[in-house]
Amino acid sequence: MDLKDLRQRIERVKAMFPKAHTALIQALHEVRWTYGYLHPEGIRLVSEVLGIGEGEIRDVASFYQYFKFTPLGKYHFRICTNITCMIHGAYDLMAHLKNRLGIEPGQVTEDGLFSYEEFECIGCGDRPPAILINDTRVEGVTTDTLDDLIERAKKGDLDLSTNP
Amino acid sequence: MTLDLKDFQPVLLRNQGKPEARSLQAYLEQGGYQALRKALFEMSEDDIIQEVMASGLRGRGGAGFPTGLKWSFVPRESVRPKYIVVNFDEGEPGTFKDRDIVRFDPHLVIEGTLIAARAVLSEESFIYVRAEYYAEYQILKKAVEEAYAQGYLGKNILGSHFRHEMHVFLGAGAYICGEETALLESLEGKQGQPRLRPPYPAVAGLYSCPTIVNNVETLANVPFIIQHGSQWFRQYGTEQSPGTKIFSVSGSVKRPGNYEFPMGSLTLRQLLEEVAGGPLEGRKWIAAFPGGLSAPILTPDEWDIPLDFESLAQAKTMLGSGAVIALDDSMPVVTYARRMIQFFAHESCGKCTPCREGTPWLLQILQKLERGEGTRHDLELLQRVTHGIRGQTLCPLGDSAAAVLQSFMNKFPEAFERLVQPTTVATS
Repeated sequence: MDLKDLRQRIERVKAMFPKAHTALIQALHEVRWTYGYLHPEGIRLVSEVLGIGEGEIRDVASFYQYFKFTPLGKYHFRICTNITCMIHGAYDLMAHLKNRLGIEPGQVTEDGLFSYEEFECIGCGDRPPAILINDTRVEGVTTDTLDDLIERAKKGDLDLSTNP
Repeated sequence: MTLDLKDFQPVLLRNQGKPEARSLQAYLEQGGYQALRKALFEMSEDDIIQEVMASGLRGRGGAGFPTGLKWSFVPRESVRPKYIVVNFDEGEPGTFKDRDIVRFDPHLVIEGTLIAARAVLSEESFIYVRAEYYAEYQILKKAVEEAYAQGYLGKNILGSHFRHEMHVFLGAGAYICGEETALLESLEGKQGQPRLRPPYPAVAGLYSCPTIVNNVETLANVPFIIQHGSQWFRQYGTEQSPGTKIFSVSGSVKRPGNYEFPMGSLTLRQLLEEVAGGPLEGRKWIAAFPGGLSAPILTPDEWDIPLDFESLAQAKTMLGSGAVIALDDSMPVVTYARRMIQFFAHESCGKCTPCREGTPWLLQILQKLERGEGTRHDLELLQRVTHGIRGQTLCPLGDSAAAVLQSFMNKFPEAFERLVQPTTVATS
């Protein structure tokens, strides 16, 4: 892991906001985007750059769903199961991932590639059911879509930069 | 009421489906930033606030508070910095209206924010974007960069000596941060838990300084009001609910999507049947949330109700964020109720005991009913727990959970009763 690069990005975030505390959540996103979760090394770096204690950082981070203290899969699926997506079969998607990946929500596949969790509304009720893979939304998802996404991810040609 | 809106052209969604319209250049070609010029060079702070007050614009995030009045509460003479916070933490389930405003008209939001800033003499603002909207976060960041590059943000804006810095902030997944004081806590790098009020943010908000928190759709209306005047704005909507409103329609409908209409110009039934095309094939509607998951449900016999703030309030529910979710007969009523409570239990921030303890308790009882293990005592318990939450919390989250569950129990008593019958039979 290139710590120098991460430190620079945290310093840039710090410079963008009027107070170190306001930069905290943005800095933690940088850690999440680097490691896939809040790796202790990243938390230490945020603490050093922003001058906020690690205990306080962990306390704040624990409140937010995007911040996890244990590793996620390289491809993390957030499955919206709120009412609109539920009507459109979101729980079938949950069951399909469980079968296909052989893991429970919150667990990671042995190859480190996949994990998933049940999620609340992600603001895509016009094209349900919708999911997020890392930060990219995929709408109108079927079990076939999931299979396709998983296969492409395994081959390493899943493009996660395509959004509106 | 007949639906005759042929001549109505969308205002806020004028560019819907046109991603090319989101550039600063395209915005200027549509007359963009003319309202800001007017606010900077032709109007005083009081003029701006008076115009917004006269327009009757009410907050589009859910509470419907008069926007001009909110702005007037800011002590402008205060030497402390004043902040504008744009609430783009669009977390109310079923809501995706602000997403499309930002997606297709990001500069409209920036311009509205700048006018608000000019009105209360604020030199710094924050746009709080929910983490789930990472794509729109990128769009906004780009639009803000463009605005800086072209002199619409920064020092000496358009040569007016007015200065303003704007920050785009990405949230991290917490529904409660849509509540304005929780949002401010989050911006201060804390857990997003609501604050005790008063003091209200207008007096002591971000960093304890005077702060206006406005929803994206609210601010998107402001440039039009300043440019065309409050009377122009009032040509749409009702006396108490002027202007247009974006409705996000989802659930069991053939044509889900965002639809903008003048407030009160159509009924819930017209929106669901005529605009959204009726229920999914082979299904029958049983109820709808008229204003997001936090709004008590209405059954189809109650749908001849105009969609505006006061009509829905009279029906003991609310317009909320304008998210209409239609429920059909493909699932048991109790499953809908359980999924709704599951949301609130998950999103309860933990600050107030009645909500923190009450919402998971309701969830457990509803899950028990779903499994067919419920007793009559459980139904009484549901009532008792909801009464124990209502009115006992700092923010509306717990209140909404309780009120919406009560609406399910009042409107579908037999659906709940049915689930406890086996026990009754066994003991008799």
